[in-house]
Amino acid sequence: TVESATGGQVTNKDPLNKTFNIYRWNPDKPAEKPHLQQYQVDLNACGPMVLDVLIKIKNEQDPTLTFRRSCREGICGSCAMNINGTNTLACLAKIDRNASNTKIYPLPHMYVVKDLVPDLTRFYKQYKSIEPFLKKKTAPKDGEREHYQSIADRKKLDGLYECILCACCSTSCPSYWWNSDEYLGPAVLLQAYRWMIDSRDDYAQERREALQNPFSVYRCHTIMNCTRTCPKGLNPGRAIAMIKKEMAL
Amino acid sequence: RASAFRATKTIENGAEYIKGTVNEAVVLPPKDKVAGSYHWDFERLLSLSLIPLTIASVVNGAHPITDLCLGVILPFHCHLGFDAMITDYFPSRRSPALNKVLTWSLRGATLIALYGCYEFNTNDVGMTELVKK
Repeated sequence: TVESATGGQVTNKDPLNKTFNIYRWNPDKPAEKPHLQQYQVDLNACGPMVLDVLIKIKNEQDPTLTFRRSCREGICGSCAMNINGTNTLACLAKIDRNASNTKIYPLPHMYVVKDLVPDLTRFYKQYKSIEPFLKKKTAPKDGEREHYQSIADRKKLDGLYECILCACCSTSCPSYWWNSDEYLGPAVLLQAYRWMIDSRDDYAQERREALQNPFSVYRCHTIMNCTRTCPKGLNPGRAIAMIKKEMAL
Repeated sequence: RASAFRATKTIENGAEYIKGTVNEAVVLPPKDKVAGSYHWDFERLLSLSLIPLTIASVVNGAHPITDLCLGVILPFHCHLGFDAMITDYFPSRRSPALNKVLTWSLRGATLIALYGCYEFNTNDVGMTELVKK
């Protein structure tokens, strides 16, 4: 049953129980193999998103279930996981009320710290390696306080700056699965492109030259899993193609 | 000496980090335009040139020049394609021996293919005729 917040008439909803198969692994008992644990949740007493289900399970059924979460509105990128085969943010993934069960896995081909928490250390290191900050060759002149940028130049950054580094795209890329040591992955390359085409940045040529090797960019074979899975609707595949185009001089 | 290894490492700007932890930077492979953008450019060049070539050989039928071009460009195109697969699935940092074996056998196979195409084009009907049959 559902309680009404205003204290008015309450419609009694029959419990709609669905199964959730969630990947579990405990590093405190490493010999135990990872397994899928089933949970039954009444969807009529729960919020609409997968994150609501996870929090409900953690609150009511199993407090040991471990997952990252923060903003619950799809802007922080913490709750990235694989839901029914697709990498999305749990806080933006609506529960399929018609499906009999929902499978929740951590991001694919990542070392698992615990349950649904992947180890994103290398991902962050790769992001750091592209130097994601503004670099100027000349010091600002006296009195100049802002880096001016035209509206047209600012428009070029639309679709690039919104990346929340959730790692959904990189972990959906087969090339990143097989070569995550050296291939940078769509998320990092999207940001590399964002800094390359920022008109305020003076080091575009050097940024391009830093990627001149067979692995950092050119492991991309336009599989396009990244664009398909981005929970923010960005297009890393296109950004990588633009990098290749800019480098093809 | 008690510690013959150092747990920390100092980088150019004076900062220090503990080796093997989160602050150790990712090392990008050495810069090499030939293996980088020039390789990619060459790959696309071959692929692009195959389009008019194939159309020409379909429309015009067998012709020594298109057969010659096909006989050179096709083996190279396939070589680049297979080479990309080898670097994807057997990169030298992960399987150095297998990578070497496969790369050299691919090169051998491409040479044989080149020679075979040459033989076929000069002494036999030619590649376009062969496909037509």
